[in-house]
Amino acid sequence: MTRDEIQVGDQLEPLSRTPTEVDLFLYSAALGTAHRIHYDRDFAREVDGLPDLVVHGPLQSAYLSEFCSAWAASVGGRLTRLQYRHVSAATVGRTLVCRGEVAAVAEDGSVTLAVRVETEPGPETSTLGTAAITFY
Amino acid sequence: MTDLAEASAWIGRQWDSEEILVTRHDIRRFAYATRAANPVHVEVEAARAAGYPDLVAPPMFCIALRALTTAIVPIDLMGADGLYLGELPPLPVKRAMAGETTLHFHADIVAGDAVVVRTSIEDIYSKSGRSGQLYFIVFERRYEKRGGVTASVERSTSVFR
Repeated sequence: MTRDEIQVGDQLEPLSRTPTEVDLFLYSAALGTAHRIHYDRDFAREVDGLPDLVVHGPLQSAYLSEFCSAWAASVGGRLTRLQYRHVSAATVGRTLVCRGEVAAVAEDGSVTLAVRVETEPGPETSTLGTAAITFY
Repeated sequence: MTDLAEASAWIGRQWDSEEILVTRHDIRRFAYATRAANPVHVEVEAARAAGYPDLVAPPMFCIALRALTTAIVPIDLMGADGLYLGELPPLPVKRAMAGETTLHFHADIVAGDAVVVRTSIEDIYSKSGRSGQLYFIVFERRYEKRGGVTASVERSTSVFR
């Protein structure tokens, strides 16, 4: 697809990731965070009442940014804005699927994407957001 | 709401992190941890072939830079949950949750860059929630490269209860 063919409603190729305990460990290490809910299953369950270890919200956002950047590159654009909020906890071992579609095309050609992360099986939405793709 | 009045004095407060030197190892560690597939994040030759001077960080790498300036503290300062919330306005809160975040990406961060995180508190407000009073702190963080180029700007709301 070229830039001129982009239309509202176009669906992006989904991106799937299934983060394991190892992914969570490496992400915590990359940030230097010791938050127990990402590695201490007993703590997550008994103290925080969570069903299992939780995938970091910004790790899901990192998947989303790659998902958006890859689409942007395929049409010759660039990710210039990413907005997101985490609406439910995603637990370790589930498959996270990034999905999105073209929500708007501005007069200057810049594109707004509506994006989300869904946990599967379900699906249940864990992260909701928008992204801006700019061409220069 | 005397508690909010006292905390509101923090609106407009600004502070800068130490300058962080970004290495190839930092970028590779983040790229592998987030399963970023583009080789420009991990192979110097691929990055140069794509026109970058060195390994280029994925956009969300700025979140790691922010964490590295705030999360690395003596263990004794962390709560039982392993979290260090940092210095916060005087509010009757125990727990933090992430709210909405918006990131604007202006320039790439590449290995060899030196970056300062410039933080400011944009707003503090409170709302009544189902589980009691909720407090919101809106932060703006500007990731500025040595030389004055802004790599990205992050606006995020932290929710406390």
